[in-house]
Amino acid sequence: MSNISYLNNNTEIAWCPGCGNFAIRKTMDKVYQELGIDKKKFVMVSGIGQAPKSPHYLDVSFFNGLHGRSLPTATGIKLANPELTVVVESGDGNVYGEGGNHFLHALRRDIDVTVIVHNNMVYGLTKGQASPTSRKGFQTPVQTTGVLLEPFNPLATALGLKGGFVARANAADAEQTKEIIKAAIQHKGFSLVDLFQVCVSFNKTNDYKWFKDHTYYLEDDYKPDDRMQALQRAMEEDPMPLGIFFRQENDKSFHEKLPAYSKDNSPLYRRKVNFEELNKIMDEFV
Amino acid sequence: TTEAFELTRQAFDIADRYQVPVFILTDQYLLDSFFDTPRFKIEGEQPVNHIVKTDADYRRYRLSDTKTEIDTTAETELHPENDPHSETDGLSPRGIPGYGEGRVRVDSDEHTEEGYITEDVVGVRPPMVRKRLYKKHRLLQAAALPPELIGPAKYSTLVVCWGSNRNVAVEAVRKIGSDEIALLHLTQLYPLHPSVAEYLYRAARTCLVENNAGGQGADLLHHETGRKIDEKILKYSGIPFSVEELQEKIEKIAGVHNE
Repeated sequence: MSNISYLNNNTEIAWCPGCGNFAIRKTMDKVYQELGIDKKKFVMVSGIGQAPKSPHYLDVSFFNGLHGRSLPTATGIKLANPELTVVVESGDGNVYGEGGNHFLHALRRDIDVTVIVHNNMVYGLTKGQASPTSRKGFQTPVQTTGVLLEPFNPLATALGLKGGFVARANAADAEQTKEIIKAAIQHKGFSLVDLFQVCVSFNKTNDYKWFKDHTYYLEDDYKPDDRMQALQRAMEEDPMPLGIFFRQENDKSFHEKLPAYSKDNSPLYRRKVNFEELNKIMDEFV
Repeated sequence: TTEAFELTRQAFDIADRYQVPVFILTDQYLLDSFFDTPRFKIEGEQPVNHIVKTDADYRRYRLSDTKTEIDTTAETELHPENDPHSETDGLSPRGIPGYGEGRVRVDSDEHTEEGYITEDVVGVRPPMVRKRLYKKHRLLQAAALPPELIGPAKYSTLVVCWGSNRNVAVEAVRKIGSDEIALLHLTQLYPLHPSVAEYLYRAARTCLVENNAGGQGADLLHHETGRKIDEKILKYSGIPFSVEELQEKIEKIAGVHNE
């Protein structure tokens, strides 16, 4: 627990007034305070979008990279220095669309990062195109006759890929969201939080009322230790459950399984070349 | 082969030192080949990781140590590489999270020295571009790896090759054994070492060997040095050159007569 603020006021916030991101920013500040996150050993990674601007507005080190590429970057950062806590914040377009391929394989790796997907069912930065999670029939200036595609189901996908921590939250419920995200960060391994939020400027359909009417919380006695049950709940389309669907840790993190970290757990930048060992290996070929 | 090992080591160092992507151009031919090689030494200094420990006020994209007024003069517009308002060598020292007191903020959008996204097209964007492009390019050119000249110093025909074609070209040129024909093997394609232009201009006739249909290597050399390449030996079937095939083609170009 720390009582220093994680908010950063050094730069102007470039979000629309009323943007759902403001509440998330406040929630993340509380999350980091309650977990006592060490700012010097912490990195936020994001792609491109409105959600990816989040790290700019917090007092953290960050890598705000390319659209869709939050996960490969986060993977590299974590593997180069597992002492760092890595949190990814990006939008549904970034993680499930452009970065969809990386999503699948990061889950398979079970890399120890926390992925918070700001799911507002639209591409907000680019002003209103349908995203992978837009509902069928959603009308936009590009999808003029309404979306024809089945929405992407991130929870079912993550569960099918043996994801170790799969959850969904609603940013409008700050307290519940805070607890879910805290649990996600503390989980050893890949954690996914699909975080519903509103986009007041470009998604007039899925507003606060819509999310409230089409979601409900998992029962208090729901046990998140049965993957098949979790998968069944994740396939519910309307209303959609909120909460921690499934949670199970593996004994080893991905990096702990790699040869590079089998005998030495120091970050790569501190390592030295072992010329003696290298030459011994070379001698085997002579 | 030793070159492949050594160049790879250098490539990583260049990437770290100059904070640029480096492409090591290999191909299936190189990777499928087997070589006998003498036992070369692996020794020397520890690699330098070109990372700095961050202070509390660390700026990832530092323009310069002294905070001067950003002001674009006519002189800077004519010679952007001499912009006095940014790091002399175009490199902002690289810090990493977890090593030091500072925050390390990295962004793909245009950014301030601290790493925040900026829309300042007057005060920030132009000096940042000058630092990254004009100044760093000069640095990269000065650090370019030199080519390798094989054969007579007083050549009139210069055969040029790069990458996996080195050994087959060396063998072909040595078999011809003419004191008029030499081979220039390019270790680094971009930026080109300044001696490449000198070698090209000294030749009466230049000839590029490449495995493609477009002969883009010739375009690159022309673009970078101003010297048009006279002849191209191109093979685009997907199969590598054989020594005999290359020898025959070079002899034809150089006007060498077979007894």
